[in-house]
Amino acid sequence: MIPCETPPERIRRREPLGFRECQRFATLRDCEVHAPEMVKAIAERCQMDRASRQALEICVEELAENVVFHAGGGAAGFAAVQSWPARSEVEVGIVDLGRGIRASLADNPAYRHLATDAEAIREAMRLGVTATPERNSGQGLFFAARLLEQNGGRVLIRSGSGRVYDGSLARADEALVRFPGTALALTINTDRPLDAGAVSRLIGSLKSQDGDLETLRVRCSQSGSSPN
Amino acid sequence: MLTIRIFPQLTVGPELVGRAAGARLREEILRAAGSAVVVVDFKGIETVSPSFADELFGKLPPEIVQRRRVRFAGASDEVRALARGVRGLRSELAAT
Repeated sequence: MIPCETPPERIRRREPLGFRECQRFATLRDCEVHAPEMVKAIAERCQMDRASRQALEICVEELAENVVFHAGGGAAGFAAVQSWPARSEVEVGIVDLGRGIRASLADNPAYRHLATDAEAIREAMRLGVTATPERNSGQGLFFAARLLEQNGGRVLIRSGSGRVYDGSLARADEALVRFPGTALALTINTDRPLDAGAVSRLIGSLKSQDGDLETLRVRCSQSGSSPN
Repeated sequence: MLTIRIFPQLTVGPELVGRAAGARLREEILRAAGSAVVVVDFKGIETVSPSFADELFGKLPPEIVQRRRVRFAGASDEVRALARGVRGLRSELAAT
């Protein structure tokens, strides 16, 4: 047997632990396993507090689940996380080469009128907008955008010819180059809190019904349906 | 009466994240509610994700809670707010 040695690297690695390599998301199980792993590794490096780490984990898992539910055709998604300690930032990228937001929303007759990809992105960022209301509730993109808005971070969403910057519904337009699928880039400030509780309270205030949790007297549309 | 303590009985951490995890907990509650009044204790839970809340609070059959077979206790203000929000969302989605 010929001994085989790894040749010495001719590059100098800078912050080698600051990048969490791409993970593949094809099932809900992938989301459950990979999202916490990715966030934990980066959060430790950035010394994020526990509440911010939990919020980032929710954010990544919600967006990864969007790929599983909405990319279509069995398309998988990929996510990567990069920390920038000197800038006090973490960047998250989630991408799929599926059918895009507009085609996905068209599964729901309520959104078949959307004429452009930018319109579709704007609509998808509203609370309660979903292609599959029997299964999902349209909170993922809303949650991510509001979370980063409060953090002072940035959101870029590309899907088809549409793009939205900074999570702002006002900042959506049509790009010259079409993106085949959906891509999200999040930039989070690690020196400011990520407050999932604040977004939860916002959702409660926007959609709340009368009644309390202890009694949960509510009209539900589903009974015992599975997420898949 | 059967009390299900979510933390640390059912989860290793103080956060409840993910649609699949929410569906599993709902199924467990439904199984238990078949033979006993169930109290789901959220003590120690700090964070719940929107999709988890939708699976648990939004999709729990209303008749089972109207008959008070399932009750919730110990939830933080944030969890209660999100529960109310997903129930409202479910009602809106059902109406469209």
